Amino acid sequence: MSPDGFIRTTSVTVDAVLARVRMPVESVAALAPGDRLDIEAQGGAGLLVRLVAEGQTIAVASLEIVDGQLIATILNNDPNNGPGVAGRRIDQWKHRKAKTTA
Amino acid sequence: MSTSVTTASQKVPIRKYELGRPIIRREQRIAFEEIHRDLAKTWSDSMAEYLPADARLEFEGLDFEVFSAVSIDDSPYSQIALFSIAATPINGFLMMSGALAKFLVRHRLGMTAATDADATAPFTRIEGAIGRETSRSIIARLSEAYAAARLGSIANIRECDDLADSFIFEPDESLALLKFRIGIADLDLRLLVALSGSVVASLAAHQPVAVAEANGRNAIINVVRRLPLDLEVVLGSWKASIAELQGLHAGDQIVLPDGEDAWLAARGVRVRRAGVEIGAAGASVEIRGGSRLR
Repeated sequence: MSPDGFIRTTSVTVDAVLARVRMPVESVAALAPGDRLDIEAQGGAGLLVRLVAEGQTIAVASLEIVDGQLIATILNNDPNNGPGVAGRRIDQWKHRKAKTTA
Repeated sequence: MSTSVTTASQKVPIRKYELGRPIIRREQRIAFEEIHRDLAKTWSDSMAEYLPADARLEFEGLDFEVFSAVSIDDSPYSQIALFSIAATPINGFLMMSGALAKFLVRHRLGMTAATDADATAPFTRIEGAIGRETSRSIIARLSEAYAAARLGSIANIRECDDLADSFIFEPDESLALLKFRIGIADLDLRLLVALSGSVVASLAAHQPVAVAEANGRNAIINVVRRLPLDLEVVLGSWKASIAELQGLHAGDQIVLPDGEDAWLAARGVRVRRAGVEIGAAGASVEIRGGSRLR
């Protein structure tokens, strides 16, 4: 197999990353079942999902729900063209603790 | 041995060694300062009944100086008390500046507005007694703080009119100076606690509570707790070949995992399971229980 052929058939794990938030370690440690994080896209823009392969963003897609399915539409898949792929976006978050009942 | 040859060839700058100059480790200094910072709060709280709300004693810091270089307030109103720490060679004094003594006495008597005549009039006998009582109560709280910190108990307390004639310290004796102040503009409201420099050795011998409780490990944990962590909300993942990824183009659509089995990850490590609900305005991530984290 040629080197190109080897590369093309190599499989990688792709993660669909909905948001990236920055939190103090103690807030992460305090997250408990039932707690909610409300995530708002930076600058009020619509939600985007990043396709991340082995730590590298390979594409950015918009999100919509169609017939109950979550559909991602690729907006940009050129790492050298546009901040959507290369930039490290940080979204806003709000932590809501789970309500406890006596 | 080669080691001694190397050492001999190194040019080490010669520094003057000042005999008697205390050496204090950083953690000892922090603990010592913390004791006095807390003490300032205790003093302020104990005087809150008659002092203005903004008049709080603040700890300004720890300094070292020889006795002859200490600035002594020679105002007739200043309050000076000498003391020692029982069963140790440590001596000390507390000096309340004349302005502070006057300020405290006037406020204890409800006389907030001083007239020009008041500014120069000597303390009356009652005012003098109140000044000494205030000084004693300050030392009583100092004693409690030192006892709690296992520095020892304050003993042999005696008032003094002229510190220079007290013969408590040699002129070139090193002192640890703990400076306090009430921060009101134009008023020199200072309080000084001076202790023999050997108090440092006492700190080493009697490991204070503050050091024991705030050891290096706790300090590191406290710093780490506040460190920011980038956390990713991952809807799901799948295997794809490079060829498939190369085939992706703008406008292509992919059906993503529905978010029921999502997770939070920090630097690629899954830290919590989650369920994600996506709405028009944003997303809501609910933390799930269970330990199934890959």
